[in-house]
Amino acid sequence: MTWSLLVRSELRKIATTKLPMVFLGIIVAIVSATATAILAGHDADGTKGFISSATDQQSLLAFGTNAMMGAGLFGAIAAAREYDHRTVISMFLVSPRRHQAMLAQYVALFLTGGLLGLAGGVLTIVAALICLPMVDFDFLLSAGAVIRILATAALAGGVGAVLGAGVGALVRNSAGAVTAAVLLLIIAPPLAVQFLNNADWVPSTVVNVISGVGEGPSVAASLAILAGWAVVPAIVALFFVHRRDVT
Amino acid sequence: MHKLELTNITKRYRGATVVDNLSITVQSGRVTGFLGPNGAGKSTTMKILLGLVSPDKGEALIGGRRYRDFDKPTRMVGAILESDAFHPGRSGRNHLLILADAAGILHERIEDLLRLVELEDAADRKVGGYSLGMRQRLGIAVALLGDPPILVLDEPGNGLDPAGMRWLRDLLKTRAASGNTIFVSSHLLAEMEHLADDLIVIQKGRLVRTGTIAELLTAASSVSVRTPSAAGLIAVLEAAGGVIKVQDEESFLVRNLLAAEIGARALSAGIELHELAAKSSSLEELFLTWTGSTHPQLSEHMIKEGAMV
Repeated sequence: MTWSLLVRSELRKIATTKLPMVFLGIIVAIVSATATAILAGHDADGTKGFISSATDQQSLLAFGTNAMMGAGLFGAIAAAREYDHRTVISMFLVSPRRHQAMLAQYVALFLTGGLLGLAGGVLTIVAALICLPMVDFDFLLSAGAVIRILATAALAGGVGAVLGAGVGALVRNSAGAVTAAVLLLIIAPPLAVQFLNNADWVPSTVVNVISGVGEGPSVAASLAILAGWAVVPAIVALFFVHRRDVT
Repeated sequence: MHKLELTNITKRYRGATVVDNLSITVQSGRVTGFLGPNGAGKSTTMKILLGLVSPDKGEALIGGRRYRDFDKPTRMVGAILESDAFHPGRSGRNHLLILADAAGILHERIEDLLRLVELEDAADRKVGGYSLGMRQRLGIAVALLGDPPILVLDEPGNGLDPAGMRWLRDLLKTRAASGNTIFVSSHLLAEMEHLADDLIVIQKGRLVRTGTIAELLTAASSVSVRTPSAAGLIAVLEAAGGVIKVQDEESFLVRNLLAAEIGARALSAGIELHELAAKSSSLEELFLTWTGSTHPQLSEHMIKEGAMV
């Protein structure tokens, strides 16, 4: 049993259902909202200050947080549906050393989540390149800033998908996993920011730091915290799945 | 030789004992039927054998090794545990491709299997649109993916039409004849009577009966005797090793002796016979006796359907 075979199998699992296309559709909807904002949006004073400088454009176009939230839901559904449809049985019959099967699933979801994040980032940049001239603004981002935005979107997508996979494997049903992922990635972070003295560890803060559009911990510390968001649920899920009966 | 051995297996869920100190052996080169009422612990036992469920006590070995210790388990054991364990939005072919990829099995094998289970035409359709019988055939293809010498099948005949049942029976018998180990549970008792060489019967997680189906059926057959000299003939037959169950003053049932032997001994003893009739029990009747399933509606339904509910 080699890793590459298990990862290939997991990638085929992901590719042979509609799930990636559904999430690509969600990404297109988010990108459309950004394009609409560029074309029709304005600040309170009636100007388009939110796209007038390179910094403003970088903030608008940074896709990392969206990528992490979207990929988190994607990973949660991808992992939990193995239990919904009982395909986890064949998964663990082919690979009875369950940690191998789960690590392969994490790798495949990291790659797919990363691709979805990257796709979101690229489409957002392309939408800006098309829409900004239509409202008489130039695209002001440097190549370096664009690369940083795209790299962060890919990384955040990958991390989000692994986080979601851990949650999905723990909860073991799609509805519950989506609920848990929404709580963890969308509802809890703003509450933490509002009610805690120091909430620099929430995903949006560290992703914005890595994207170069926010303040908080150092980039290195942000990368470590972001990795923790994936690694902790993934390891907890590995522990429990290894011990649990597949009934 | 790929013997399956479960030794002193016990499994409890929330205080309820599902499998209770169960020790069974499944021999290679034979089809072994695994019977028990609903909730008897058959599926849990099979899952313990395949490492999906951990026993609280005991050991389950396949050819002397635990399932999880096999490097390429699908090349050693093929299994059907649930007939509906497929993503409904995925095609049958893709389901097989996923498992073939994971097990390192060449994709050419999939075409052969689709042909074998007669799903070539439906291979690219979504499994959600399959009938129960088609899903069962896909499950059989999954079990045969690695061409394993051991098959562990939980209710593989569910949803198959009579032709499908016959096809499955022939397939399993052929594989057993070539030395494979076939361990199969089923509610279809009449089918099991045709299929199995050996039987293991459990109830409430405990072993009730085990042996070859021929031995079990022979041991359960009896001869009905009616004579005006019942007491005298009973004494003669008991001396010859017969086991007697008295029905009334003139009639009784005899086990362990054939009708011809009983007739000969009655003649020798000068005892007049009014009836001498061999009675054979079906597997269904034996199953009801062994498991104490005496609920009239249940029994009636089983007799009509030839199956457990």
